[in-house]
Amino acid sequence: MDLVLHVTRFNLRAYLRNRKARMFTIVIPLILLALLAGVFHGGETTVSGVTIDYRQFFVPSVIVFSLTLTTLAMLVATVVSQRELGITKRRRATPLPAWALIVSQSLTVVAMAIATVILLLLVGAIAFGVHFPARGVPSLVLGVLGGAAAFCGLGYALSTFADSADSAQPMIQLVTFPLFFISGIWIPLSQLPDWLQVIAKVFPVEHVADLVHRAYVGVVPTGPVVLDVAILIAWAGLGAAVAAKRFVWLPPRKG
Amino acid sequence: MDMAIKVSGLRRSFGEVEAVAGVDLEVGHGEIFAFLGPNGAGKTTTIEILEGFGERDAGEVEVLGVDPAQATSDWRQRVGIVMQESPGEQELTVREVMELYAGLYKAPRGVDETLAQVGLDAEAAAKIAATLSGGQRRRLDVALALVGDPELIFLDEPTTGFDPAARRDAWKMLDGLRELGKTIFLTTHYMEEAERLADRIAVIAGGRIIDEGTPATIGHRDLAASEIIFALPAGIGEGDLPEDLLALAQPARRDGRIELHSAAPLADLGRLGSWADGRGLEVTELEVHRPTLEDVYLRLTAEAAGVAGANGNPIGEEVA
Repeated sequence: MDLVLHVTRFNLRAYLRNRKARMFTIVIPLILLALLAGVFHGGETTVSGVTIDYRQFFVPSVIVFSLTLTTLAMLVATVVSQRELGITKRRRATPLPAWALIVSQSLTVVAMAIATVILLLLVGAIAFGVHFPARGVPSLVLGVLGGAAAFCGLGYALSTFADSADSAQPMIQLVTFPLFFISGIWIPLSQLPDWLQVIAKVFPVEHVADLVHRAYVGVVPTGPVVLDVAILIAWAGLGAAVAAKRFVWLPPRKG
Repeated sequence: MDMAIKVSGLRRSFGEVEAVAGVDLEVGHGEIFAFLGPNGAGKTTTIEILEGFGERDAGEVEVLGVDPAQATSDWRQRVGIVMQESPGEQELTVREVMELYAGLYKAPRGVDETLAQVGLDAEAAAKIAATLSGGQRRRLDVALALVGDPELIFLDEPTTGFDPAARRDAWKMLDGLRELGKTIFLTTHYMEEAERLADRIAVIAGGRIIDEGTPATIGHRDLAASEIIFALPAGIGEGDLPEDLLALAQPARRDGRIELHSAAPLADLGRLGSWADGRGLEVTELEVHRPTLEDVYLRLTAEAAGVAGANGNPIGEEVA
């Protein structure tokens, strides 16, 4: 475990120095938050049967969006590019066990995701007056941790389908873009046709969104929360299983 | 004797291609072993299996008494690896990368001491690893392999892309490792490097070891004919040589000089000298050398590839 923390410490340092990572995890979410809060002030919408201000809808939406980018997109980008550059192989040539390498990579993005969520909570409250009710804490924690687990599992699985950072980029967008639109982040789920709602509920993003939105609205009935968590854990398990079967340490052979 | 590396009957195929087709080799403790071969000969496949990164189809492999296919964390404590071309970490400084790797070993060497040994100074240590020049990055690669204080070090083309001065520095550094008693498994495309550093050499081609020996004896280099090359004054030609020397003459050279291949260079030179003296001729532009390791290597690999020899006519000439 000491090894994991040792490696994670250096990963985080490298991560904070990476311009792309800072864009993804800090700059883009803040710009998005400012834009949405500015454009949609005054309107109302309905989430889980509760009518709320648009801002109260968008702040948690941006949190879910950032959580997904930081864990899923950044993890895939990091894993694929480190493998392509031979850094993964280099680290495997040391006594660092495989599990420690994977855990520290995951821990790095999860730590960044948690930091981003806290930043957005604070900015949402201070700058846009969207307060977070204390009773929503358990739901938020479940959403962030469940989401991080599901997206890390999925991220490791997806990383095995790209052999260069260049091919990983469009793949990530292909996966995340449609999910963002059907998962009740930009458009409340209740405004989508029934069949699209069913499809959305198969995938993890909708369940993270459900948990985080519930946290903000302050309504946390037990029923669907259990379902949300179960589906997120299932995705984490599925991702880990696919990754365990397909994961390779070495860069693609050149000749 | 207990060997650092023991390989017998190693085989590995990729689809139809048998990259390694029955390799046997042994490397003793404290030995510097050079593993030579053309690209695609099975070098990288073999070294990856020895490093615990590649699977094999058949054969016995023992590295420091352990099968690398079952490489454990403890085994990795004892093995240092310098891989081919590494771009370096994009966001960490040289010192940070060294600290990161040092922290993965139970009894690492000092970071400063190791950096000094490979010739990276404080200024280089403060740079982001990916911004180093090619030669400096290679030094960092070597430093990373040394920081865990390994018994055995794999060096895969450690000086590729170096300028001649940097290559000499690297050799000095590797001599230092020899003095520390480390076992080194080296691959290189520079024959001068193998000759300068290696205690023993093996040449692989087509997935098989085609010869093995010391730099002086490989390919019967010690028994091979030496070249004697010289020029004679205008008007005197090869045909004027005494018969026993004429018998050693090789096909005409582009520069007009005469080339003899001699198994007894000193005696033949004596004969050439007394012949020239007797006629009052001046022998100029004289060179004598035995075949270089590169000559031997090229002959061995060409034979293995089934090519008649380097002097064959290019195909294009026959058409014209």
